[in-house]
Amino acid sequence: MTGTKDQDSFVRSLIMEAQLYCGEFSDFDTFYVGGGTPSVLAIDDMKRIIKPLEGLFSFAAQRESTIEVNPGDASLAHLRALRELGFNRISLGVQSWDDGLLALLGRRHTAEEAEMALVRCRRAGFDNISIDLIYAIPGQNRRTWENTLRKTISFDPEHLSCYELTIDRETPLGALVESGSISRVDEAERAEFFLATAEFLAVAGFEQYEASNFARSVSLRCRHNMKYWNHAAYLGLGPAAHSFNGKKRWANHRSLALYITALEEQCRPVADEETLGNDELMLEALFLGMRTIDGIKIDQFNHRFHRDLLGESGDRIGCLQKEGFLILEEGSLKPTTKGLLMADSLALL
Amino acid sequence: MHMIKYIRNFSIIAHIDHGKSTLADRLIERSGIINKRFFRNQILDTMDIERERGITIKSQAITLPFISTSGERYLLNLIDTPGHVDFSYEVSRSMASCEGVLLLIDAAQGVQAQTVANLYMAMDHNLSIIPVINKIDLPTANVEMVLDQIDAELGLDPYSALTCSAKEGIGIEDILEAIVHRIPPPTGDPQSSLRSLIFDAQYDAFRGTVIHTRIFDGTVKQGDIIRFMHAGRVHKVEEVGSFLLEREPRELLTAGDVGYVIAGVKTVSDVRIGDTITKDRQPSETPLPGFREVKPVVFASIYPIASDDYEDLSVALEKYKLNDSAFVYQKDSSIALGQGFRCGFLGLLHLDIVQERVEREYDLSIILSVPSVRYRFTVTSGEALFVDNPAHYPEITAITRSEEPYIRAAMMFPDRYMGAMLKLIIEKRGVNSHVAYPSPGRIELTVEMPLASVVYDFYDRLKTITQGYGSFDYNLIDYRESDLVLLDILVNGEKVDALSQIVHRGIARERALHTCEKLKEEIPRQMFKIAIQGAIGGQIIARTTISPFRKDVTAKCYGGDITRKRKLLEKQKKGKKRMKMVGSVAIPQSAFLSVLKTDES
Ligand SMILES: Nc1nc2c(ncn2[C@@H]2O[C@H](COP(=O)(O)OP(=O)(O)OP(=O)(O)O)[C@@H](O)[C@H]2O)c(=O)[nH]1
Ligand SMILES: [Mg+2]
Repeated sequence: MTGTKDQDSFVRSLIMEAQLYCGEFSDFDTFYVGGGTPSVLAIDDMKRIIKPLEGLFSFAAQRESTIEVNPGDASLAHLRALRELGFNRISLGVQSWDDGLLALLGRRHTAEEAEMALVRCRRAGFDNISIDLIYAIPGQNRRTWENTLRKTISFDPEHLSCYELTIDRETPLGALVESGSISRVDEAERAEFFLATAEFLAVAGFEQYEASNFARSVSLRCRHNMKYWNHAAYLGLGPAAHSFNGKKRWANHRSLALYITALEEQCRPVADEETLGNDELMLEALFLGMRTIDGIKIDQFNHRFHRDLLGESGDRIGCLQKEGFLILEEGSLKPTTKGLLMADSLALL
Repeated sequence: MHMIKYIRNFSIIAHIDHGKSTLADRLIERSGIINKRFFRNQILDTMDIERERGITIKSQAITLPFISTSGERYLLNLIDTPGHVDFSYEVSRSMASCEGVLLLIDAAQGVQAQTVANLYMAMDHNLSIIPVINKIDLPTANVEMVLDQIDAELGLDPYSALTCSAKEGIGIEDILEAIVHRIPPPTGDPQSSLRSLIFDAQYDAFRGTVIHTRIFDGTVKQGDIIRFMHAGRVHKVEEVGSFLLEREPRELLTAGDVGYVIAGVKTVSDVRIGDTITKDRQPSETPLPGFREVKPVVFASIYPIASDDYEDLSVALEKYKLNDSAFVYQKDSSIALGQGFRCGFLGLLHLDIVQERVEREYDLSIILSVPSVRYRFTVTSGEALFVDNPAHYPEITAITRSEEPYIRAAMMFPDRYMGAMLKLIIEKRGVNSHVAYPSPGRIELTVEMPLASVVYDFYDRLKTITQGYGSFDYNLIDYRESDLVLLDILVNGEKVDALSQIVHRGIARERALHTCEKLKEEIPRQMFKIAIQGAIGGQIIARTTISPFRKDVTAKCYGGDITRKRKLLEKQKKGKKRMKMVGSVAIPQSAFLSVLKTDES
C-alpha cells in the first residue's frame, strides 16, 4: 500500500467484507493476522480493523491471537501496542541466523535484528512465541542447520515452524537456481534434513505435531493452524485470503484494486470458489490428517465419509505399518516420522 | 448403366508414404464428386488413427466418374492401399479386384522394398502396371535416378513411367488418361451366373456387414438370394451400390463393377474375405480363386488395468473385431495381471494400432504383455506343440526339440550403410545373406533370420542406421531348430508373467538386463525399494533396484494451499489408476511397452 488513501479504503473494505460474512460465521476461538507483511500496517489501522471485528463476531475469552511479525519491523513500542490490542502470540519470521543466506532468500532483515526482536517480544510480554526457520537451502549442511536450531532454541521459543525451502523465483536464490548456477538440494538430502530436524528438536523437548511444526507442549500447538489440518471451518478476510465453511472453499482476489472494487459494489471479492464433494473432502481429510501426528481418527472418518477405511485398504495399511510408515493407535491411523515425510503418498493409500 | 468397356478398376500401390492417399485425393478432386469446401487431405484415410499417424491402415475403394479428352464417360473404381508391411494382405486383396495398378515411386526416395514387393504382387495378378514417379516438386527429387531404377530394379520400361506431384496437382490429367488407355476394361459376362469376389467387409452399426465386392460375372440386385460359395450360407440382398464418398445405392451391380452388397449378415466374422458370392438359384460351378488366409505372426495378451474392466474389455474386443478380421483373440489369464485375452496380430504396427483403438474407442486402459512369435516344441511323446504364449512353455525336461519361425527379409539401402547393416544382421542372427547391386550405389540384401529378431525393434534400428533411406520387406519361410529358454521377470520377487519372454539363449542375458533397465526407467520410485530381476529357471541372470522415494510432504499446507494440493493429488491418483498393481508395486502401462524398445546405442 502506498498512500494513506489506499490504507483507508483497504481498512474500509476489510470491514465491509467482514459484514458480509458475520451471519454465516459467528464464533471464533482463534484469530490470526498474517500473510504478506502485516506488521507494516500501522497500529492505528490495526485498531480500526480489530475493534469492528470484535463487534461483528464473538471471540472466545481464551482465544489464541497470533500476528506474524518481521524481525525488521519489531520495535518495542510496536510490540507493546500489539499486546495491548489483544495479541497473545507472535510468529516471527527469523528464517536463518546467517546474513548471507537471508540475503539469498530475499529477506530484508539481518540476524542481529532478529535476535533483538526476540528479546523485545519477551520484554513486551509475549509468552507464546513461534519462530519460522528454513532448511535445505543450497550451501546449508546438517552441521550448520543444527547450529541454527541450537541458537534458535537458546531463546526458549514455545513453538517452531521449520520449513523446507520452497524456491521463489523473485528471490536472488530463485534467479540463481533458474540460471543453473546453483542446484537444488536433492530429495534424499532433503529427507535427511527433515529427519535431522525431527531428531534434534525431539531431544530438545519439542513435539513434531505436524510435518513442519513443533511445540513445547500440546497446549502450545498453534490452535489456529490445527483448524486447517483438522478440516475445520475458517474465514479469511483481505486480498488473497481463503475461506472454508465445511462445504465450500473460496479465494479472494489477489489484487488489492479488484478486492476493493468488488466490495465497493457490495459484492463478495471472490476470485475462485469451489464446492467440495464427498470424494474431494475425503481426499483432503486424508492428506491433511497424514501431515499431523494425531493422524486420522478412523471411526470419525468412516462415519463422515461412509467408508470402511480398514476394511477397504487393510492390506495396504498393513504393509505400510510393517514398513514403519504408519501406526494404528487408539483408533487412529498415525504417521510415524518416516510417514510424515511421505504424507502425500500415504494419503493416496 | 455403364457399359463394361467404360469401367476401369485399379489400385494405387507403393512403398509406405510415397503418396498414394494424396494422389487419390487429387483424382477424387478432379472427378468433382465432392464440394471443395468439404475437402480435406488424405480424404480416404477416414479413421482417426489413420489421420493422426498419417498412414493408411485399411484399403479404401471409391468410384469416380471421368470424361476423357475424347469425350467418353468412364467410371473409375479406385482402391487406395496401405503401404506398411503389416498390412500387405490388404494390398493383395485389393489387387484381386483390379485390372491394373498405379505403382507410385517417391522421386526423392526411389524404389524401396515395398515397391518391389508390391510390383511382384501385381505381376502375380497379371495386372497392367503404370509406374508413376510422385513428389517431383521436392527439391531433392531425382527423376533420372528413379527412371534408371525403374529400368534396372523393377525391369519395367522407363518410357512407360509418368511423373506427377500429388501434392501440387501436377500431372494428374496424364495419369487419368493413362488409366483409361493403358488399363484394360474388365472382362466378364453379365449374362452368365453371378461370380463376385468378396475383397473386404466392414461393419456398420445400422446395416450390419457391408460386403465389398468385385463382380466378375453376372449381376446382383436387391431381392436376390445369394450364396457364399465356401461358407455355404444363403442371404437375401437388401441393397447394392457403389462407393462414392458415402455409399450410394444402385439398382444393380454388374460384371466389372466394384461396389458393395448388404445382405443381412450380422458380423464381419460371418463373411470370409476371398469367398465368392453366387446366386442361390443358378449358382456358378466354380468359385473364384480366393486369398491365402491371413495368419497372425505376433501374439500378446491384453489385460485391463482395472480388473473390474474385464467385461468391458471383452465387449470392446468383440466389437473391435467386427471391423478388423485380421485380429484374433481368445481368453487368457495371468497370475500377476488377472483375466485377459491372448491376441494375434499381423505385426507390431498392427498391435500398436489395436491397442490404441481399443483404448480410445472404448475408453479402456489396457496392458499388453511382451509380444511373442509362435514357437514349435517337440516333446518326449513326439508331439509338436505350437507355443505363442510364454505361460505355456512346456515342461523343460520334456522338450526334445525347440524351433522358431524364420523369415526371408529383403532390405534395400544405399551402399554406404552396408557395414552398419551387416552388423545389425549378425546381431539379429541373420544367415545365408545374398547381396545384389540392382543399380549403382544401391544394395539389395536378402537374408534369412528369426521372425523374433524382427519383431523386436528391427524396423526402428534399420531406419536409424540408414538414416531413413533403408526399407524392408519379409516373408515367413519355415521353422528352424533353435536354443530357446524362458526368461522370467520378477518384481520384488513376484513373477510378472506378462513380461516373460521366450528367447534365444545367446541373447537371454542381454535381454534380461535390458528389460530390467527399461523397467527401472519406467516404474516411478515408490515408498519401498523395488528389486527387479531377470531369471531363467530359478537362476537370476540380471538385477537392478529402484531406490525408494523418501520425501513428498510439502513444506506448508495452510488454508490457501489445500485446494492446490488436492488437485495435485487427484492427478496423481488418476495416474495411479493407469498403473497395474503387482504385489505392492504400481507398474505403469508404459513399462510394459518400453520393454520392446531399445535405445540407439
Ligand atoms: N512434396 C510432396 N509431398 C507429397 C506428395 N505426395 C504426398 N506427399 C506427402 O507425403 C506424405 C505421405 O503421403 P500419403 O499420401 O499419406 O502417403 P501414402 O503412400 O498414402 O502412405 P501410407 O498409406 O502410409 O503408405 C504426406 O506428408 C504427403 O503430404 C508430393 O507430390 N509432393
Ligand atoms: Mg495412404
